[in-house]
Amino acid sequence: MIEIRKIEDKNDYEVMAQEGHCYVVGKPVYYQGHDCLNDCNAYGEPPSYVSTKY
Amino acid sequence: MNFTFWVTDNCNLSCRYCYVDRLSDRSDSMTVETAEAAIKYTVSHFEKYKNANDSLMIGFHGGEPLLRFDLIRYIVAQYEKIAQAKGFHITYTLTTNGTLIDPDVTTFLNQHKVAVTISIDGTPETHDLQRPFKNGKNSHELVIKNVIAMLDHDPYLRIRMTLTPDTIDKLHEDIMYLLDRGCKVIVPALDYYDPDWTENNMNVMEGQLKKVIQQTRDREDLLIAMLNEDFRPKDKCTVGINTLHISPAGDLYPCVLAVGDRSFLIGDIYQGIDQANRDLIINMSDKENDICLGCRLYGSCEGVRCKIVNKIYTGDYCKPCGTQCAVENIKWAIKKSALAASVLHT
Repeated sequence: MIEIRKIEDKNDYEVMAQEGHCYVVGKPVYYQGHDCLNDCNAYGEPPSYVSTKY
Repeated sequence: MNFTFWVTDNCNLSCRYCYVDRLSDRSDSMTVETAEAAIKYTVSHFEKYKNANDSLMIGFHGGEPLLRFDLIRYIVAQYEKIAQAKGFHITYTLTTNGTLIDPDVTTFLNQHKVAVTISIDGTPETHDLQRPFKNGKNSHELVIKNVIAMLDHDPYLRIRMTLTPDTIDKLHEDIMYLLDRGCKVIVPALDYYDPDWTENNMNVMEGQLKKVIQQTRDREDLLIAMLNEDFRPKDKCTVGINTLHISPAGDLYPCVLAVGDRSFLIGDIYQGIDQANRDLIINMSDKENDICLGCRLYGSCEGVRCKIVNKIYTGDYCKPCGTQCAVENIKWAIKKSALAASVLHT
């Protein structure tokens, strides 16, 4: 039985602005297939901004 | 808006971790009459709830959906007519075990730009241990041949790997095997039903994934789901409105995890949505997981957002599964080390 372990060392950053969207030429875009549990980006929609901060 | 047709519960494989045998509501294959009624229902549901610019995504799932390739063909032909008449933009997805892909199927999938997911667990050793044919014969040789053939048409073919405690120590080898054969999009997912997951398994998995990262650091063309977590806040679950799964008998379920479990039944294609049942599930999404309060991943964790997964694995809508929590911890550890490494490299 694996216990619940809370994460405490993450900071939240509010993204105030970003340039364009996150499509990158030559990189795949993954989509909300049938297992939402594992990837929830919506097919055909730009992925959300991915901050390099954490 | 996504509608997924479970065209059959039948399958030609006998996977060790298969969920279909656990379903309380099994109904074999969808008939043409049910498919027609389902198409009619999905179009009216889409027209009722769609927002401007919404598109329609039609999925095929099972069982092994390609056992009913005839019906898939029929359903797609009907939707193509509807798309033309009503100006809808429709896309298609298919999740398959990859054993029934022949030139006819490939031509059809390409012609209709179907986004395909093939389930394969890695090397022959890992895959054949977990995914034999019903008659006990190995399936890997056929599946990898079809994966490689499909990659010629779709370099971003989506690969679904199921991870179990028995094979977790081979995860690095399994992922590298698939990458070496040209796969670029890999979605590893745990069999959460397996009761044998331990803290030790989780440590092994983290080590295996870190080895993958080390070897793929320069591969910007890859997308391996567990290694690409962005931890963005997740929206409220909208199952039953934006997502519906249609069982072979025409019953409506909110999502892939719920199909066949009658406690999650939210209507059928003839009577429509049972608002009370759907709202019960949607409203659960707003409830807090007391045990998780204070966790810094609270807003982005699936164990908080997806109450259905909690109910299935723990029996309590608001109590997450420990194995899933451990996976979130691993994804977070990987993210931290990846970011630390990228800082060092710049």
